Amino acid sequence: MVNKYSFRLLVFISMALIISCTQSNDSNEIEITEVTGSGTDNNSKEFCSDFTVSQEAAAEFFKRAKPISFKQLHDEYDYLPCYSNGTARIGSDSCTWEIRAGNTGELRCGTTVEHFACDDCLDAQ
Amino acid sequence: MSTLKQGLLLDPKVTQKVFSGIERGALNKINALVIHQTGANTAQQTFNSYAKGGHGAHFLIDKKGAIYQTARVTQKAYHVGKIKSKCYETKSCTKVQLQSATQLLFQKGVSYSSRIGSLHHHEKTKPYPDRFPLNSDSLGIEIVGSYDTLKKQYEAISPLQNSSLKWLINELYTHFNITSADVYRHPEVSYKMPSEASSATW
Repeated sequence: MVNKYSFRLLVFISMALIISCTQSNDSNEIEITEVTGSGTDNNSKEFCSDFTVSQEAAAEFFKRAKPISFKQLHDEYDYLPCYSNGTARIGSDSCTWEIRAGNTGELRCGTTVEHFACDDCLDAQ
Repeated sequence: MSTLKQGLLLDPKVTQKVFSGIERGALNKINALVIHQTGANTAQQTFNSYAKGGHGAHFLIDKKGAIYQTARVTQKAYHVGKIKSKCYETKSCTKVQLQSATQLLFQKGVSYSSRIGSLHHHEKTKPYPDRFPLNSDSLGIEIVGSYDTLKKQYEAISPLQNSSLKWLINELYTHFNITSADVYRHPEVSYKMPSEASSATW
């Protein structure tokens, strides 16, 4: 009898934990709310003239991209002068994002900046 | 004046701290120097990274201006990355060179990463100094300095660090047949954050 109740209690706790974890993950999802513009570093307008990122492409990028360290960003990726940027929401936090033509991106929420990379998330231009 | 022995720059000003894990095969010819900033606040953070292997440079100048040799000058280190087109960047291409560079840089239906990958392979076939330096013909000098991700700016290089950089570069001028025209900041050569080494002077 005790074992039967214990088993049901265990199942209940497990389900509650799963639901709680799922909800917690949902609140960490990056929701791209707007593309606000695009630009270039060092007046590279000609080189960057083809580079655009739609709201859907930005959402797909951050969905599939992996977080990387600053060292990885510097050593393993090309930091191209062409970028698109916009706004995003993570749970109740308002953030800004930037995606660069070299398959890198960043997310700024307050004073926290996270770097991302995705080798095959950006469409050919 | 310093001496060179078995790839080591011997001088009381240079502390030997070679990490064999960042040495990547014989470096037979040195045509140029590339100046970098570490993106870290202390030399130790870079040493910890070098101890694991991977990317690295030949020399490191710490916050107080102390110079460390971290790879032998007879060995390649991975410090450059994919190179840009020198003639395109300096607006000195011949008509044919400009045609080749623009064909690769503005290739329709191809991602930017593929474009600059193709450009790198194209540039590699040129002799120096018609192209920017590669890992296979240059030495890298790292200067310790953090990167402010909010301001997107590397820390300013201190007078002590610049003084050591100047001394080191002058020593390397005397050991190799290079001049000030052969010294580059990392973002000149490859696609990196524009402020890296921007406050370096020599």
